[in-house]
Amino acid sequence: MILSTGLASIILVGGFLLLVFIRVPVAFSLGLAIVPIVMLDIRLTPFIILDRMFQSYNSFILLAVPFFLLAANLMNSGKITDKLIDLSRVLTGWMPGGLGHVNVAVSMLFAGISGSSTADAAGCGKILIPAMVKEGYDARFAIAITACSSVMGVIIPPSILMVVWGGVMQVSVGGLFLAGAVPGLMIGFALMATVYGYAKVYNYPTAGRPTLAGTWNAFRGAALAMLTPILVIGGIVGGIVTPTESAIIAAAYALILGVFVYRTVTLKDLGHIFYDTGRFASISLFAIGTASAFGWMLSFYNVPRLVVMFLTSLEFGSFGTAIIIAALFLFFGLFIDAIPTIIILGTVLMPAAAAADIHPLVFAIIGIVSLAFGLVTPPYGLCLLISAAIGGMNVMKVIPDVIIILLPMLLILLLIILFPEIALFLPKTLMPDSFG
Amino acid sequence: MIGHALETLCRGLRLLIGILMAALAVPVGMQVISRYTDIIPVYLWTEELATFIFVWIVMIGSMVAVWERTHFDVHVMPDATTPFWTMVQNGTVMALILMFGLLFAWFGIEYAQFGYIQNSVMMRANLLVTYISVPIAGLVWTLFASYRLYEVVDHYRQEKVATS
Repeated sequence: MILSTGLASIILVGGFLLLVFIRVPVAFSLGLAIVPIVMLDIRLTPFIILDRMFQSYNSFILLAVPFFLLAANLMNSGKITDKLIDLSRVLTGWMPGGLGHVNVAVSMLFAGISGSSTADAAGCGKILIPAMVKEGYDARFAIAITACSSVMGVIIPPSILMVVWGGVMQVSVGGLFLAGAVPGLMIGFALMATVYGYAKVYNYPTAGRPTLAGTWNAFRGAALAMLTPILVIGGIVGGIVTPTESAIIAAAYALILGVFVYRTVTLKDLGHIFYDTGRFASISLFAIGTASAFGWMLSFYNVPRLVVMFLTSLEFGSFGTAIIIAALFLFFGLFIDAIPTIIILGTVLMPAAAAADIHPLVFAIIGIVSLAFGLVTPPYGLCLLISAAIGGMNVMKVIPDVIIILLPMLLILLLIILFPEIALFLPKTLMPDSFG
Repeated sequence: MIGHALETLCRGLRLLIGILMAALAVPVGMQVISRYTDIIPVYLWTEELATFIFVWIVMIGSMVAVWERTHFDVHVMPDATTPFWTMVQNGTVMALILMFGLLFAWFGIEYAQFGYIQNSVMMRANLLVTYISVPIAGLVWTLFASYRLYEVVDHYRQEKVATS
């Protein structure tokens, strides 16, 4: 038989949601939801689906993902994170709520180097959550601010999600990196304002004023690590290296720092780091295959075209469409990992965004920022799960603080939608030929 | 006995992931070095080799994650409160992965055969090298999920005996 678009969509989306609900892993749910369609529709064969899935791994740009993760893991093992914390302490620790600001600032620095939010939550959380609790901060606040600040990892360049977005949607990764910089910094400052508010209400202490010698040592200690964003972002934006090449340069640089400069990474550690990186990367990337097959299936049944027609008929204009896009990414980000969501929802909504005159870079930043918030919202908030595990607390107890901290971050998302120039300013300025 | 054998298999796979991850750095690193220095010539096969290794890392990682039960899942549905429903809840997940594994292994054989009749563009390597990862992944998921399913049922049986 030949399935209609409506029936196919119901089976695909309904089947997927049901499977996720009964706790089948997301990657397998995407694959299993396809099975009945392939069995029913005579135009489809398992071979087509397998090929669609397998070919999605045949992407050189995706190789950047394990290398950015490797760089992050090397930084955490090589005590580079500690150096960044020392630097953040002298930069922001003197303000009321000092360690809260340090937590946000180190996430901004870490984000500029690694591109992984989960590595940020794990690396910084291990040090800062116990330190904050020890200094009298409420554990719930310490966990919530660690989780929420770690989302900047995928917004401030370099970003693994931007690499995947660029690869899947054929958008310049350099342009995406530049477009994410200002929104990422705005989220960072919004978080610091929230920390300040908390400090005033709960009378949280400062982390002390730094001495001149301490400041000098902190800058000297972190200087080599802070060269990474220049190498990575400068290299890509300047058209010198590809995203994959920049990722391996970042990893090689972190390796040199850890093994030869700081001498904190041993050969034995390296084995573990390689394994951990490969394992975590493969779990994230495996979903790309099943998500690609699922996304292809939606395209096969013309779902993206129907979405465009539906959204156009509503006549919401750019602003309304952007709000709907953000809401959809926020909603799906609650339940699904960001990478498969980009592949499925991103490709479905891309024509709708284009029809509403939303610039591809602005569409990407709205999607990525919305998905980043999904990293701290249950039931599938990886960064929140990691931070709560470090703080030894049930996720549900932290939710009220997460909501309070997320509100100003949502305001930034709204500002990006209202004023797209926030995202477009840097690409237009630094890459005028491509984005003029 | 079977559990021990499968754990040993998984240990081997973990070791392989670490080795492949380190190996992946070689062709990509060579590409960077050859592009920006004159130390080595530009080898076009490096990109192809890198994607071959990458495919294997993804597939082996997916196998290990089935054994370790670390594939991302979402806990919307509350935990079952009785041993029977716990068995149903966990068993259903493993049974579905098992089914997917069987389909992957079965149809993957035809896919691997398709790879066997092709060669890569640069290295002229037979594409069976990577296409074979599809049925192998299906087979290993099936093995791992079958044993985990057995464990779930066995755990329920033992709990039932203990309470009766």
